[in-house]
Amino acid sequence: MEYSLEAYAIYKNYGSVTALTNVDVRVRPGEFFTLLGPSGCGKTTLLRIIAGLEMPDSGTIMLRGNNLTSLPARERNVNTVFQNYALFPHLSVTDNVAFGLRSRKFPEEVIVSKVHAALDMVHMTEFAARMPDQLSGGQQQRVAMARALVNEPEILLLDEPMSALDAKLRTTVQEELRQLQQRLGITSILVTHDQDEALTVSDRIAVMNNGQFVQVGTPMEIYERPRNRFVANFLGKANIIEATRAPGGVQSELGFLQVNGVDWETGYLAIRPERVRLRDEAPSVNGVQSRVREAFYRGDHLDIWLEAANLRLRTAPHRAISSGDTVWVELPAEALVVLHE
Amino acid sequence: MSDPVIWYGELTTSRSLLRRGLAHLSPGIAWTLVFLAIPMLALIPVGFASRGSYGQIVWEFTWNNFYRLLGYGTFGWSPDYLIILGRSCMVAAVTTIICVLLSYPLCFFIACKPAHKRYFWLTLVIIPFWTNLVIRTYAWLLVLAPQMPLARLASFLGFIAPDAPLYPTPFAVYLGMVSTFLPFVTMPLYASVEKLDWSLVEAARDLYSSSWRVFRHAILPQTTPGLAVGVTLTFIPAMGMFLVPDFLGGAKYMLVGNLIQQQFGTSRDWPFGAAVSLGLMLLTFVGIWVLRKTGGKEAVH
Repeated sequence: MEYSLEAYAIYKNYGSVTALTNVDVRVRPGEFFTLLGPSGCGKTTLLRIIAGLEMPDSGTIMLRGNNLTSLPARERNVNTVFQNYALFPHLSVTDNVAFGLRSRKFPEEVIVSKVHAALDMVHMTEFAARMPDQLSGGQQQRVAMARALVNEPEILLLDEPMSALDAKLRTTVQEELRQLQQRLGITSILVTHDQDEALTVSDRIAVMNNGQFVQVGTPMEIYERPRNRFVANFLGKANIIEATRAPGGVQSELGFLQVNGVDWETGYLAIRPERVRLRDEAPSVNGVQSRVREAFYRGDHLDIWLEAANLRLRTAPHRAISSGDTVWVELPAEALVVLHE
Repeated sequence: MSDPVIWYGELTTSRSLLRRGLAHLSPGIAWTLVFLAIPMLALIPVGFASRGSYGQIVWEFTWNNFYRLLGYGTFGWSPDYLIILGRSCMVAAVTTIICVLLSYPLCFFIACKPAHKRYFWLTLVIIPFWTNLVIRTYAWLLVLAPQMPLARLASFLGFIAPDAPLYPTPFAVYLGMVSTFLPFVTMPLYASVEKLDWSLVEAARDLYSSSWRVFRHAILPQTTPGLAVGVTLTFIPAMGMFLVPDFLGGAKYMLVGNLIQQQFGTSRDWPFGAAVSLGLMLLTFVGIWVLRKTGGKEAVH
């Protein structure tokens, strides 16, 4: 299979600081691939290396099978939507969008029609004559999208393009971004530290930490089957249970738990709060009885914090539970994830 | 009525702010008025007076000083003074351009250094200010003297005769002018370069720009404010500079500054000196106006 982008054994250091260590990436054509991780994990560095804005210390980058490791940014058919959009303040929306085409000396009539189509695509046609400082953050972001997409790049690179938008707008823009990417079928690589954003827009997510890929998979794989404690904690909330292997399951401070696929002697299990089930009476397996330490009513759900092993669970809000109550919960075997490392 | 405004947490009106601002500015305004505006306005009547036989000012209205500046003299028309004016414009313009061309790489070189090392380099740029211009210019005479390496190299390459100094030459004038004015361009330009938004440079590179296009659209618009200050601070005093061309250019490479100095000094022809000064001021205003028309537009955006 031909990949849109392949990167092999990428290393990058800044003086004594390691940014990337032996990173391999393969992105399929038309895929929405997300680099997710905390700040300083190397995700932006990797994106900038792909864009050609920075050179790796070693490693190979291939675009559609062509080695472009040593090519400068201006000779790579990839375009970036920058974190602060980086629109040229002295150029109008039209001139900003036309910038890449003018650099490549397209005939003016081609530029006009392409720019028009790109602005239409992001619903910014009526703002064509405005200057960037006359636009809202969301509008600037659309122009930045159009400015990148008008060049019909092999890969669209998105460097935290929504971090400057307010929370409500961000959700809308995420959905629009996903729809636009699907409609154009353009290979996209997004850098973000926002797990909701990563889950919403991605086909696959690479979770990064300390300059390395920790886990690569679909949003569901990453969320449901985190590989280790870092991934489990970084994406959403997770209960981490320390355990020792026992026949048919594990022994933990919650007693014996039935769980499949334990391949270590001592290690950790994870279970998402919404997968912990509240029971009226003792379940047949993996039941735990505990007093409720705190219960928080959140409108659409109820967050309960148990005294047993500091277990947290999330449930529908229609049950009246308050701190001090004693409840039975079940940790279903299929919801318990065996972590490695 | 004046609109209420909030200024540094205080509720006030724009009219009150204006009044207070003027009060604070008044010493400066008074200084400028007494020591700059009035003497300059005084030049206007002097420029239309004539010189008496003992060098005194004779208060008779005449256009003669200006005719003389334009080349109409007792012995018919000669372009000597116009050449001096034109040469001054050219020397000022070329000096400014060379200073700008040198300052850009210098500013980026300094701005790319780690923060604690930048002050060291900036200090090196400012060090010439610590020495008096006369002393610095004498130093150039020494550096350009016949037995010094520069002159030897020049004579070895056949530019000058053996054992000849490198002055008085236009080259020496430019050397002196550029070294004098370089910090005036570098310092304000550096202020702009230091706070440059590099993401625009990266956006330009990402959008297939050539080096020139990166400069034109990502660097120039952002550094125009500093550049405009630097160009103004260099061009205007360079137009009137007389010390450097006097020492390094000799009598054959006279600039308008030398001409003015001569008229107020040895020639004791104050009315003609005033006329030349007024001509220089007019030229300078035109120069600044042209600069505003072309380069200033960028700064507005």
